[in-house]
Amino acid sequence: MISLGRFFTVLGGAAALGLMGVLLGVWWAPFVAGVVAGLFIVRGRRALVAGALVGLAGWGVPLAYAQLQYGLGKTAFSLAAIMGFNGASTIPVALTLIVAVMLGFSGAWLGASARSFLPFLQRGSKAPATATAPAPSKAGAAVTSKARS
Amino acid sequence: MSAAGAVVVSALVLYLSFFGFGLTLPPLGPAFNPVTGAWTMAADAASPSSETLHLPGVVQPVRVVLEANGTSHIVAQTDHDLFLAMGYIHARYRLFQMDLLRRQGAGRLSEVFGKAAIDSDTFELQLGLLRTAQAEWAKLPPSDPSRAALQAYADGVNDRIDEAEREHQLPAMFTLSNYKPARWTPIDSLLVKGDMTQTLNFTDTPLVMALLEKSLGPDLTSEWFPVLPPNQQSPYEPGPYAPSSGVAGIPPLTSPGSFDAVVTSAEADAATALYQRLESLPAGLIAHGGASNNWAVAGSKTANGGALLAGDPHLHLTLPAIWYQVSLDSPAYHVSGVSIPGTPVVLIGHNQHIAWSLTDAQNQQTFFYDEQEDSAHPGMYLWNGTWRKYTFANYDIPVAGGATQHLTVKYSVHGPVINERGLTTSVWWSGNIPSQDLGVLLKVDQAADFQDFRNALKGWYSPTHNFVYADDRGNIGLISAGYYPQVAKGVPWLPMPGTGEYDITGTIPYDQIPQVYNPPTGVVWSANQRQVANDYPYYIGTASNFFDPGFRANEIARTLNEPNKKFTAIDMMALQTDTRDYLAGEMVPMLLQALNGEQLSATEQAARDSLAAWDDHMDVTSAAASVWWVFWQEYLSATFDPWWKSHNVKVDRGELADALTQDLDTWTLRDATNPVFTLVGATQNAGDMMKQAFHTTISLMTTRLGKDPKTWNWGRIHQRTLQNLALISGLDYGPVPERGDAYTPLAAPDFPSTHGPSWRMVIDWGSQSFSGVYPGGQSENPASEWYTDRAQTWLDGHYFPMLDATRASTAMGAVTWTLQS
Repeated sequence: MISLGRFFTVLGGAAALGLMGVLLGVWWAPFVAGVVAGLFIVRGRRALVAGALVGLAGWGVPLAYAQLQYGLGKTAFSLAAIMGFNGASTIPVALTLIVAVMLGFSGAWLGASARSFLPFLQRGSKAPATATAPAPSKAGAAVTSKARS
Repeated sequence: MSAAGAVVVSALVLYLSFFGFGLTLPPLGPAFNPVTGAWTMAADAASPSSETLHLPGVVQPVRVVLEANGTSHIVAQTDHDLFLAMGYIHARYRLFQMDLLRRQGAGRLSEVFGKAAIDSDTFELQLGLLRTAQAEWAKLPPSDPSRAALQAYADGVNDRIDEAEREHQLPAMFTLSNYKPARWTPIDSLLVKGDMTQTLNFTDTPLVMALLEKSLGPDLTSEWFPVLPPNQQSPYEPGPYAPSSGVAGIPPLTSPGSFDAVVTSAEADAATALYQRLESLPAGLIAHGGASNNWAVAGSKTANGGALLAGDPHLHLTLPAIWYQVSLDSPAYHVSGVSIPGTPVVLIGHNQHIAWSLTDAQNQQTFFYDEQEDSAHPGMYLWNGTWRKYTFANYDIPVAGGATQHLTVKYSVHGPVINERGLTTSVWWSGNIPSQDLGVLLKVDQAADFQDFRNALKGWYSPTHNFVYADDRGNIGLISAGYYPQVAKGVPWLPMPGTGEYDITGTIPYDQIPQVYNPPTGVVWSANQRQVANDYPYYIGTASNFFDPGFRANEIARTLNEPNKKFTAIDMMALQTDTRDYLAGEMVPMLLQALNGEQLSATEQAARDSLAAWDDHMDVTSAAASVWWVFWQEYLSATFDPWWKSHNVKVDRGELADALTQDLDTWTLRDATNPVFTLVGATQNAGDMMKQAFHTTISLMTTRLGKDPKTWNWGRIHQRTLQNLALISGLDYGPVPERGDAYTPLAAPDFPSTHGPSWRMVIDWGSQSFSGVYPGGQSENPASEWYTDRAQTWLDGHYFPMLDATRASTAMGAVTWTLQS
């Protein structure tokens, strides 16, 4: 329970950090927030999930807000056309969310890997972060799949 | 291993996010993040609300009223603020379009789009739009009002660029193309003007004529592509004319067969090389014919006693459109109409007293010179008996994703050298004469009567335009203003020797260029036809390749000259959307006559009967219209293709369709046994050829459209498309079934038709009502309602009222911006 509490605390903080950064025009803030999540969430697998969620929140929340305020249908349609996918409006949406997730995820993975080189962050760890990190391709596929759903 | 994986994956994600991949994948982070990336087009597309905007350059508050459809009304307390606000508004809604236009003229497209644009950039820098724009700006006196207007306009554009960057509102195309717009300068506005000049009157016709003469021979070329029109025409200024004042050295050419030059093999090879180079350039850089209408009716011939004016310039129909609708009010200006984004003027419209519109005058403004060189004088050419050194200019062409290209442009006295394969060919183009055409338009915007209008147009150089005029006192006029180059000697419709004696000697004096004011007929009209009759004492271009074949003009003249008719604005609108094909009116009876006694199948008989009952209108539901058009193409093909094959003509016959149509029309009516009909098969005359073409037509149409001629509606084979300016097909409007054809007043050439009435305007001074519409909308943002909101209204042939600022501010849905520093 203690570990879950820390998980959600770090997740919330990192998501807020990423979102604030994006709103201030720093589009890569989810990556930094992911690194923070990776550094401070003890279990590597959880860190990666958190990173993906942080990325998703950093870009997804403003995107959702834009949808509510302006409607993004025509914009998505136009972006798809510009990208050469006439009529496939979901493609720019999916691409945006995938990029967001990948920014957070890769940041978290980097942070989690860095933990093993930063002993002062390992206090309370049940296992070295690097030992529990999943293979990148599996994790990437899982997150991508979630984002598309 | 896992740490290494994390580093690799992070590096890859960050690299793609920051830098993208070549030209195919933009940097994903800046491009797609929802706060500063391309998604901001959603916020930009939202309907505006009344608010105060802060622009550093504004001196006194400016009011901008935006109608529900985006038409802008700028009310400023100083002229400076007026033009600054205009620059701001243009940039707010058309910044990417403006950037493309200036890049095209400056030869900087490759910097954004990579190697694919190098040919265009190279040609533009050779031709010299940038050089001309720089010279025009340098020559503008500090006290010239147009200098102040251009500078204020540029400041307004830059205010918007600053604002857009600050608020992350740059158009998405910048983000996705991974670049930011540079500061706007007055030279950029002059480049946009240069683009329009080029697209309207830089022609390759002398090269085409050289290739025709080499393959078909001088006799056939002079008969088929004569200087004077072979068919019946409707010149708006029929004469009599004052004798030539001596500027022109070419005697009047009143009959075919007057070619006195022989094209050598070397000249033909050089022409071929250059022709192929020009043909491979992107569409729009070379003018191919023209199609616009305008006319005016004097108060004496209208129902309400006020003058009427109608204008519809025909251009490439793009999204966004070339036009932006605006009204301008300041101490010195009260004008309403359409402007070209990038320029601070209303090009077509009306002020408080006069109205005007334009069509391309089509006179020859491009001349090619083969420079004489020899090995004893390297780097030199012979001119007026002495060897002169070429001069040079150097340019760098930055290329996205590639190395910067270096370009050296070579000049003779005639202009830039644009071909060195075989012969060295330079080009004299009137668009390269530094001129203050924007200043002229500012004077036109302010003109109060015909004298003001005419005086202003005295300074107009290029492209030569037919400026139609009507005022609030019932007067009308038409002036084909511009530069009419004259040569002392030689055959200007072919490449000429560059040795000096064939040089341009000047232009037709202003008093003698085509023009009329309050003619006794009470009407004036132009539709790119030759403006004058055959006894006009100056050479202004060949009939077949510079001027329209005249069918639209004939139809307009026929309608306007109806006896005892009192016209209304509704009649003007009806004529602008008239789909009657004048050529069909002449030819269908001849076809029906030829088919008399001919054995016809049931399908052929049904098609023939539909033609017999037809009213010559190219309507989308008309099956006869389809039969007629396909028949005419087959008739052209059956008549001329054998000649093209037997003489190995290297010019695409389709490019000469107007000229050959003019010929075939004439021969069918008046020379049915012309030898052109007897080259192949058993045909002996026009009638035989028509019958053959008719049988082929029905066979083709049956295969393509089915056996029942009743279902062969014109709309099934003829559509209209408004093309996205960046050629993104998913952002096009259409294709949709469309009426009209190449020869109807409602011009709709090609399949699908992407060229046509780019703005329709009808002015009724009697009722003080002004109407206009253009295809597309005010915004270049494809997510905006204003991207295509006018398209259907335009297709339907309807109009919007052109309101003034006061009436606009009370119209439903209008919002007001206050611009202040």
